[in-house]
Amino acid sequence: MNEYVQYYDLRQQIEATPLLIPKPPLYNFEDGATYAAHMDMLAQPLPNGEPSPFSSKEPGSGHGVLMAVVTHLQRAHAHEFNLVPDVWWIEWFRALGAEMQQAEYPVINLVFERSPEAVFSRVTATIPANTEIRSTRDPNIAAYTLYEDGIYGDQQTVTIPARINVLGTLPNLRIGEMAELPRFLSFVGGVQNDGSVVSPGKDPETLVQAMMRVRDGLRSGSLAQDPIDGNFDPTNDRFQARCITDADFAYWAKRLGCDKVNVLSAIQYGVTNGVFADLTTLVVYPSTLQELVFNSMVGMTVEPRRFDVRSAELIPIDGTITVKVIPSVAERDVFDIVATAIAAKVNPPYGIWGDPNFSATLATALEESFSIYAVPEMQLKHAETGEPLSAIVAQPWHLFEIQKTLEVVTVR
Amino acid sequence: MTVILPNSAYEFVGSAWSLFPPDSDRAGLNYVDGTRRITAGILAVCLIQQGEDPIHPSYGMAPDLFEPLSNYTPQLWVYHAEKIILQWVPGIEKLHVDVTKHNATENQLFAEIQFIPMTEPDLNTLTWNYYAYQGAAWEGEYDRFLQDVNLNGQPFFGLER
Repeated sequence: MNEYVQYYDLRQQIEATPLLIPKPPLYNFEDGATYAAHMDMLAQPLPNGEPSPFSSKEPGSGHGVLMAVVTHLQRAHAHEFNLVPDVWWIEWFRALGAEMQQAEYPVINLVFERSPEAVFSRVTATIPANTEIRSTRDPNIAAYTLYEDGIYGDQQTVTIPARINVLGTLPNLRIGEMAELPRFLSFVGGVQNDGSVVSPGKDPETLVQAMMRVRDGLRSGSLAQDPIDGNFDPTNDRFQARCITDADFAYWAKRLGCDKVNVLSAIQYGVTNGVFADLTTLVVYPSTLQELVFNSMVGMTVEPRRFDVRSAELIPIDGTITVKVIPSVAERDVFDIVATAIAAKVNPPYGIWGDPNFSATLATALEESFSIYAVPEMQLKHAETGEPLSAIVAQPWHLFEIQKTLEVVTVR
Repeated sequence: MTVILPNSAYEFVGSAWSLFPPDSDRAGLNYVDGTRRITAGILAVCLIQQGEDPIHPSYGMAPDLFEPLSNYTPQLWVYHAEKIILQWVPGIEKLHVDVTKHNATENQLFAEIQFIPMTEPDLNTLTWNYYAYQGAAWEGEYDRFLQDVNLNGQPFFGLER
């Protein structure tokens, strides 16, 4: 009987003071959007240009029913994922060798100044380790010096790194804000932060961040521990990485600093026809990284796979573009608006590799800007040879680059 | 009667993989387009039960197994059929649903569905016996069921034979 009373007492207590924090779902699955994406992919035209046999998006069609079942199973799977407690994932990552990364304190530089009397009498000022300096603006922020140092000889100042007492990313600080010495320090005239940051600190890693890190680590073969002794050095023997799928090649080329990468499977550079099944060709932008990418990544490929890296070929384009702009835009501003849109959306490192509809891409990018509402006419040509754009056969290693010699005609 | 107004998505006919009929020369892989795609869509929405499709829970109008047709009047069936076909089968310009013969005691409802596709100005007539005992018909009297489904007077087999 007593147990029943305790049970209901506990129920009452929990209801009165709920301690449970609602947990956001780890894996947000939208079945409507997923179903629409599946049907959209099925409705795409075939590679040879023929319309898809599954172009209808009717739910009662065979592919509609099949995709509905697939999406339903995915949703059930996502629900099962969300039922797994977070601690299970954390322990699972530990089993894989990945620890959750802890928060770190930020460290800033403090400049200590010797008092005028000490300078005059040439007395050394010593700043002991763990000296406390407080913010003049926020009483909750303090900094503690990391080691002991002094101001010797003719020196006016000394710079000592100090740890901020707030765990996580660096709070907003003003230059000169850390200037309050709560305890008297002999021969020290003043102190302030000069704005330089040694370490910006780090918030504790969330589970989602850890998941992304472990995913990249598993893909790259090194469980995201690729910097050895703090250095990113693919030539080190202890460095482990592998490239199996196209996504692996793209991932490592991006890690090596490429702004834009195209992974060509079974295509040889310069050859428009033919299948080279064991060949992977990377096209990288900027072109200066070609040698670095090849030397770093050739060891990551699996043995029977041939590997080639080419730099992107830029095709300079200019000509005349006619744009329709809203009345409030002055004539002299139109070229700048066009140039901004091109630099932000069309020219490398943006744009599409070997874009077969470059005119449409350019017109779309221009029309997305606020003041241009139509691009009625476009006469584009190769900037050096004068060859019209329609005559240029775009290859997957080509990138189009609009030149400054482009002429813009405005129509009101 | 509430009819969802056609928009651009509803005007597209396209082509599809039809589940009807489930056995054919290509072992059920029937690719249909144009009028035949619309016919297959009408058959699908009439033969699938509401709630069977997990993504579209309101899709379908087949009655429960062993639910007698005497629960329906033909007028109510026509009302439901027109509404649901126009809602779920895209590409229909004009639709007319009629019940030519209704025998509640034998659970028979002969339906005549006339439609004009968006793509061609062509009147098509789909006639068939809408069974209440759907499962029984599909399992037991399948040949008779197939023979009953006629498009413009010819048996409709999805794929051209």
